[in-house]
Amino acid sequence: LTGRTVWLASYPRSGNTWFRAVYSAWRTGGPPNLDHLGTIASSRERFDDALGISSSDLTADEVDRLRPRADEVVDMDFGRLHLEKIHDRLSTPGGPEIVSAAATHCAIYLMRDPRDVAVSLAHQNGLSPERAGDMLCDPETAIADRTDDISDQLRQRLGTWSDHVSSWIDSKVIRVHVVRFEDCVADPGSVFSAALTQAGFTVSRQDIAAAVEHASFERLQSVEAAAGFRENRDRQRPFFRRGRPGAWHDELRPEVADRIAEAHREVMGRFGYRS
Amino acid sequence: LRPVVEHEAVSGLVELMDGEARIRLPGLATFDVGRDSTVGARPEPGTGQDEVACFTGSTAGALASLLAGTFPLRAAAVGRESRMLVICGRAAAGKSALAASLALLDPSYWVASDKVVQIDGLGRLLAGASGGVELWPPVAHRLGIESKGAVVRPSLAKRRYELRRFAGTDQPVTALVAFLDIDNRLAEPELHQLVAGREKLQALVSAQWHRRLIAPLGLGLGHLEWASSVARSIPMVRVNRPRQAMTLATVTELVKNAFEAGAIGAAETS
Repeated sequence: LTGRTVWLASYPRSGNTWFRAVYSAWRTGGPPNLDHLGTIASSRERFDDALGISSSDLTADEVDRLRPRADEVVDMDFGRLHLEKIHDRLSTPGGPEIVSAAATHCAIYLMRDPRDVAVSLAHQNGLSPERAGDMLCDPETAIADRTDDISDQLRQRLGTWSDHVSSWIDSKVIRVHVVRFEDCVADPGSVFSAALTQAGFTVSRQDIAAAVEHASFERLQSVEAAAGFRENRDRQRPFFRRGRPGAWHDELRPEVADRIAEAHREVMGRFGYRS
Repeated sequence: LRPVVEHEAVSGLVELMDGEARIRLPGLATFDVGRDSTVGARPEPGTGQDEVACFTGSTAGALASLLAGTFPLRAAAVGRESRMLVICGRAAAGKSALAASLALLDPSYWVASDKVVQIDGLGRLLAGASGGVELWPPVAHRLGIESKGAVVRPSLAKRRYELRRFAGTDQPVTALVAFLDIDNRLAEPELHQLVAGREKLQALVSAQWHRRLIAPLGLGLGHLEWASSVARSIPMVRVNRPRQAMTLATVTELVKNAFEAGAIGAAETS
């Protein structure tokens, strides 16, 4: 792969924003600017601007077919490796990748215990934990998939949590480095350093340690409390909420937790999550 | 001197060929854009003309304008008498909704376009005024015109609504450019005047159709002159609003006041 894009791929609410905040702090050598953490691959503006077309004239399937072309145009804007956020699953079975392999250097896949993802999704979107659990188990789960309206995001197909993980981790096309959110929390300096180094960035442990400090969860919480966070779609609910692994023990009813664990037993087991 | 571009693919969908261009939309159609601004659409087998006509007025039409040496904006334009308001903004920021809302609120307003707006360096409208606005069902419903729309493309739920066209004899001149943006940190919409030249230029460039083709077409210097002139001669405001749909009425009021007050004085603060 000859591209310069490093995809930071994750199911929503898996620590993607925290990772990008640390990356931003590392790049700038100071506190991250939460207003400028970079674009997401599914940004409608990114697509329209790159291709000179109005995505609102296209169906969601047509947009999906053209998205790799937008990646290639955007990638040409950069003279060095750059991190791009993405929540889409990489591909549906037998289907093409949603990103351009030619624009890709590699991907970092950020993974989190799906039971904690369910808790976080429920809080962020005002859903019941049961409904959030359903989303993680539904092969048709997608974001921004209304056909009678548009939003600033293009449709993003997620599938089930296991579908999502597998689509990236088992890719034959893109080199993928797996990072667990729980390991980031336990030893952020080492894990972020290793992830960025494996992805091809030249980092020093000292610089990453400083970036982790600048972008600590507590600091992000306090910045959001003071000035808000532009990416947060509901200002009534904090984006940076708890940030600790294991919240599902307190916040998920056992039957919901069991159902998620049962549905994702194989993939969870593969990455050390006990069901 | 204008460099001759020979068959060079410079954008994901566009090929430039010695002053002419081709846009390929796989699975849909190919559009040939001539030096004389003509656009020919060739739908792929199984695709009806009605499925591709909308691109002629947007991406292909904008490319034709660029080949002709003008700099089309991804924008909507409305006006009153011969004064015009150009509404730019990120995709899905609400440009068409604001244009329709203004035209429906005040019957003295006309609509020029909601996709491609061409103005010269002094803000004069260069292309004809269409009077149409494309809206998605929730916005059309909110504005009370849901049942009056025409199909834009059979595969899409959005509809085109014909509103009042410009019928004057004078060439409309831009009195204000408004840049819409979404900021979910806000409780209410805010309007700020853009003062710094650099900020105005950046905002204009970001609103440009096919902006990555400007340099390969050898239009960089002309574009800089055009953008500098527009930035110098026309007041500009940025309107930030939270995503919630109910803010449309407030945004309409803010922008209408700024436009009618002659922009500069009223636009300094929200």
